[in-house]
Amino acid sequence: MVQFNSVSMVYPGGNKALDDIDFRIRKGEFVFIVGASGSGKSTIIKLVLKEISPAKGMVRVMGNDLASVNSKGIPYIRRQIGTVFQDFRLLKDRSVYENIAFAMRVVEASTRDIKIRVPELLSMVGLSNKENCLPQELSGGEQQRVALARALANRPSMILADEPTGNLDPANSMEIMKLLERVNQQGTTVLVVTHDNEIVNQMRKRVITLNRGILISDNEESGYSNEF
Amino acid sequence: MSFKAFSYSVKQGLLSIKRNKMFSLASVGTMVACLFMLGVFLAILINFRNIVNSAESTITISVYFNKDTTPEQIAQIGRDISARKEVANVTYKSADDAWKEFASQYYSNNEDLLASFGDENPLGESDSYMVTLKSMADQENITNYLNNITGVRYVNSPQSTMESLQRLNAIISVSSISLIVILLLVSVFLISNTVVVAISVRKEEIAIMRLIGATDHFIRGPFIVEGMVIGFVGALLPLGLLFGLYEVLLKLVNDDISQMASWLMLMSPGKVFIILAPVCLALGVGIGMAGSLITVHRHLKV
Ligand SMILES: Nc1ncnc2c1ncn2[C@@H]1O[C@H](COP(=O)(O)OP(=O)(O)OP(=O)(O)O)[C@@H](O)[C@H]1O
Ligand SMILES: [Mg+2]
Repeated sequence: MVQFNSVSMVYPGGNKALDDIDFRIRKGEFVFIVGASGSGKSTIIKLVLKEISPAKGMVRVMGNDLASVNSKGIPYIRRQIGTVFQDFRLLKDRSVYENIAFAMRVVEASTRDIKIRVPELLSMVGLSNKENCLPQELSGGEQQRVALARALANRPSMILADEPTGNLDPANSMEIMKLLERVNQQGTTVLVVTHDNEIVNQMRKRVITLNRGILISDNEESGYSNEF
Repeated sequence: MSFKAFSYSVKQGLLSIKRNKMFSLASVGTMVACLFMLGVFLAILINFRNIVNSAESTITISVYFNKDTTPEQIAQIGRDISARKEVANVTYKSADDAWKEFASQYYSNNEDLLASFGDENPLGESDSYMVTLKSMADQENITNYLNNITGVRYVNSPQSTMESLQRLNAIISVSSISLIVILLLVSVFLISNTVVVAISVRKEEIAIMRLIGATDHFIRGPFIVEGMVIGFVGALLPLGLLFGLYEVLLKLVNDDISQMASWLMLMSPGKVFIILAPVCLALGVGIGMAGSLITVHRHLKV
C-alpha cells in the first residue's frame, strides 16, 4: 500500500522534518504513527498525499512511485485514499448529507449511487437522524464521524487519519477508533497518526514511532500477507 | 469534461454567486459601469461611421471636358471611369443641363439678365461627369487619374471637405478605440479581483476538494461559470439601459436634425444594437471568462 524508501524531507527554510525513513505498510494493515509534536508525523501524511515531495528517497503509494505521478495524476491517487483530520474539515455551509455527497460529486458519481450510498454511510456512523443538520449543529464527535463517512464515500483502499481524536473526549475518541477498526476489518488499510497513548495501548496494533524526524521503533509483526 | 462535471460546474457557479451575493453584485456593478461606457462609445462610433459614410456618398468629383472633345470620346471616358473599382457612380451632365440648373438657381428672380444671354450658353465648355466614390480614401488617386485623361479640362475635387471629414473620422475612431481598450483592461482587472475574493472565501472548500481528489478543471469549472454569468448579466443590464436611452435621444434629436441635414440623422436602434448587442455580450462573457481564467490559473496551483 505505502512504502517509504530512505525518505528525507527538508522544508523550504532548511527545516529537516524527516531523516532517512524506511517503512512499508501492507494491504489490510492497521498502523499507528506516534511521536512528539514536530517529529514529522503529518509530514508523512502529506508525502503520501503528494501535497509535498521528498528531498530524497522514494515514496510508493498503491504501486505508484509518486515521483513519476504528475499533477494530472495526483487526483486519481487521492481518490483511492480517504482522509480524516483533527479539525474535521467539513464544509460549514452545507448539511451533513451534502458534505458526504460532495465527496462523491467530486469524483462524478451518479445521482443514483449518491442516493444509495450516503444513507448507507450515515447509518454506518450512526447519524441517520442528523442528515439535514449543519456541521455547527453537531458535537465534535459527530462532526468527526461525518468526516469519516465522507472519507469512506468512494470506497477508498486506504484511510489516512491525522490526529482524528485530537479534539475529542475519550468516549468519542474510542468510538472513532472502533469505527476505524470496523472499516479495517472490511479490508481497508488504515493509517492513524496520534498523540494519544491510551488509544495506542488499547488497540494493540502496529506502531511506528518517530522522534525528531527519525524512525526510532516499528513493532511490525511477521506473518502479514505479502500482498502489496 | 463530461456532462455531469459541466452541470455540476454550472450549478455550483450559480450557487456560489448566490452565496457571495455582495461580491457578485459588486462585480456585476463594475461590469455594468464599464460596459455601459463602452456601449456609449461604441454607439457614438457606429453613428459617426454612418454619418461619414452618408457624407461621403453626397460628395462628388466633377470632371469637365475641353470644348473640342467629341461626344464619343466623352462616352468612352465615362465608361473608363465607371470601370474603376473605386468608383461608386458616374452621371453625365451636359453643358445645357448645367446651364439650366445654374440659371434657375441664380437668375430665377432676374429674367432680364437671363434673357441677355440669349441662346448662348456661357457654360459651353461644361459637359461634365459627376463621380461618386465608394470610399474617400481613394479620392486623391482618382483625382490624379482623372486629371491625366486627355480631353479633360478641369477636375473639381472637394479635397478639403473630404480631408477634414477623414481626419475627424480618424480622431473619433482612435479615441473611442483607446477608451474601449482601457475600459476592457479595467473590467478584466476588476473581475479578476472579484474572483480572487471568491477564491479566498472558498479556500477551505478548494483545499477539501483537492484532498478528496477533484481534478483541476473540476475545481476551476464553477469559477469560470461564475465569471461568465457575472459577465453576461453585467452586459445585459447596460444593453437594456442603453437601448432605452438611445430611443429617448432619438426622439429628442432626430426631428430637429432631419430638417437640417438628412445625413446627420442618428441610426435606427435596430441597426445600432445589431452590432452593439453581440459585441457587448461577447465582451461581457469574454471578460468574465478571461478574468476568472487568469485568476484561477494563478491562485489554484496544486
Ligand atoms: N510547511 C512547513 N514549512 C516549514 N517547516 C514545516 C512545515 N510543516 C512542518 N514543518 C516542520 O517540520 C517538522 C515536522 O512537522 P510535522 O507537521 O510533520 O510534525 P507533527 O509530528 O505532525 O507534529 P504535531 O504532532 O504537532 O502535529 C516540524 O519541525 C515543523 O516545524
Ligand atoms: Mg501533525
